[in-house]
Amino acid sequence: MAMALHVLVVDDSAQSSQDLCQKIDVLGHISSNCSSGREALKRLQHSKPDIVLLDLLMPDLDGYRVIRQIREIITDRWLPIIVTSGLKGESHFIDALSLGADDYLSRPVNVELLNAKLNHYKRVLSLQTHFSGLANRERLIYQHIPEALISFDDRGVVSESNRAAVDMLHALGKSDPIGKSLNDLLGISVDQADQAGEVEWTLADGRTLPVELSCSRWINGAVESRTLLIRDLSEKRRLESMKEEFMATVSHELRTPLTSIVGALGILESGVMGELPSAANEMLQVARRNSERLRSLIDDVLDLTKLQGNQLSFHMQYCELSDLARESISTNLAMAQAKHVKLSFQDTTLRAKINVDPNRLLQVFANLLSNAVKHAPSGSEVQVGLSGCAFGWRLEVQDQGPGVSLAFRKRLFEKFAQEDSSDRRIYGGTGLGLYISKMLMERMGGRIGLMSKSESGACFYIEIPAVRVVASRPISLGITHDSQEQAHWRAWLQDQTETLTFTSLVQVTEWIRENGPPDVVICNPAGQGAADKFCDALLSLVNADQLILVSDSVDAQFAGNHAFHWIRREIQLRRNLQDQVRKILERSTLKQGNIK
Amino acid sequence: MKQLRRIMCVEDDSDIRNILDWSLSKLGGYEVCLCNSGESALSKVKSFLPDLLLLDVMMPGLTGPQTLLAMREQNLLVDTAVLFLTAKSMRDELDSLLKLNVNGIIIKPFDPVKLPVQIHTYWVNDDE
Repeated sequence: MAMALHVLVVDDSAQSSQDLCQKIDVLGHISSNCSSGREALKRLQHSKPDIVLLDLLMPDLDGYRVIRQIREIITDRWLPIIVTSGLKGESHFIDALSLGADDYLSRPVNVELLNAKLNHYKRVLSLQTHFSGLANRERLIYQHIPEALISFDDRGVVSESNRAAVDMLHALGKSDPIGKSLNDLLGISVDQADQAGEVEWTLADGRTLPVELSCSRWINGAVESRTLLIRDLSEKRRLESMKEEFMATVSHELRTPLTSIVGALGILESGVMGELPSAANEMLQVARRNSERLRSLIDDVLDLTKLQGNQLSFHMQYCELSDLARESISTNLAMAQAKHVKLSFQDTTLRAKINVDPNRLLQVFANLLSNAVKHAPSGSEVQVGLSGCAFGWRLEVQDQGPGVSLAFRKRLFEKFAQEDSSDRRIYGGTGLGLYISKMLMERMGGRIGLMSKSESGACFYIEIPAVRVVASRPISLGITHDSQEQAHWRAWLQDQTETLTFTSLVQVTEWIRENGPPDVVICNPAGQGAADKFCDALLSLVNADQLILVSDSVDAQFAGNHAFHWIRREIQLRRNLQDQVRKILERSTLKQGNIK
Repeated sequence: MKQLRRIMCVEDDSDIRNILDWSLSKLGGYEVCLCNSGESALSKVKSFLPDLLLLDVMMPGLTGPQTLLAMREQNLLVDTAVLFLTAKSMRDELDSLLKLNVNGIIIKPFDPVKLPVQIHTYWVNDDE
């Protein structure tokens, strides 16, 4: 700390004042002096000493009154005052300290003590300068953040705003936000500010301003505050629409020459211009196939650009997955027949109500079907199956092709992923299909995947949340002939699930067909026919890990073969059942949490 | 049911016009009138009297939709089916084209061998 202090000595005695100044100067600080309290107060109006050494006994305005007045005049900084006196005793020092002095020195002044005190105040003052510099720096950073920031308390009263916010508020026709309420300024409550999102405001000049709000809550001491960030989206919107226009133009410009190429090749191929030698025909096929590939690349890249820019619009509507599956199969039938592959839809009575954009779902499904057909050996069958699952409804496409190698599984849903680059030449395709399908499914709240164990061929699936009639609570369906048991199940599970009980599998199937898969199915297989068949039928409706079998005597091997839970009826049934249901519900919450 | 005989194609790209000609007159056997712009179509439509108008969307000068509106305003399209021919594939754009009350949209690139059949299907459906 090389900094020298500027010390103002206030003393009516010229001799002692001079003496003190000299000591200060010798210690490496800078002194100046005043011979009266009045002169000192006047000096302080235009000079900024770091510290004042004040004699207590002075004629006219004494040291005590000078202390009081200094504290009144100087409020923007801390000016340490050390009082000096030659009087015996300490009571006058106590009075001075209680009036606002910081420290005292007895006369005659001990140089070493003076040195120690001045060094102490030098340290304190330099720390203070450091911290006020930091605070100022923080304030400047806050002020100069280019996004608008408004901080307010839990009632929405604004305490700070930065320059960008003041400018934005000005454009909205509001000025001087400090002390005003968020509601008056922006027309939103604290709760609304908490819900981040995009909104549009109308400016004072009538234009609209698209903004994105994000709010963060912080606590300082016991006071809760929030800082709202308002991001102007005008520029982003302008760029988005430019990009969209650019993509539309590119797509148009690429398609126009492609139209001529595909057209010319088609006409050559049709033979209207005369028969071509077979070698030429072969080349024609090459050109034709690759122009088709180019066409789908353009389509896919366009889709991808829109998907990544979040610009693809989804027209969500209620429909039935079974209808969409049948429709897709019939539109893709010709493609399959050309390769001598049979497309079949598993016979089902499930309708599977879902909320999706049907055209986008058909696009995903067409992609899965064409992949399956591409890899299916001639004469084989591609099977499509519909079932319930913990997530909602599941549609599977199973082929009898070579399957997907373990190494490739990880990259399957990535951009431009193809197992073997020769695939591209053999099958066409862009390597974007599954990636786009995955994005489409996610946008619609669903998901896509490859079954982990498939004995032969590949089995892709898509899963979509079911549209439920009763959605407020998890649902258990119970199946048993015993009406007393039905009543027990309902009572025991009343805190955990909505529990509906039935006597037969037919009724449950009907319920699921109408309302979608439940969270848990509990059943007592007694009196339901052959256990094997009964369980198989149940497993076509729900996942094994959602199923609880309650039985008098359980064949452990049988239950183990099917991966469902079983409980013996006579032993602590109530607690076991509640435990098992709780476990199933926890697992399904976990799964759904992972998806989001 | 009236038979589809006369087709007017409006397309600014000469190669595509050439292919449309091959497809519709040579393969399809229709009587085809080719126009290279909306303006030229407007002047020829009165004398050619097409049963069906195949109209490119993005053209310099009058665009497809503008040409269509101008023809309708001048009452030149009585009993004429209209199909747009477009390289646009974004659904919102296609939807806005369909709102112009046309019979259908042919997407580029199209298959010139199948085009006559495709157009005929629209024609038959229109009659129903």
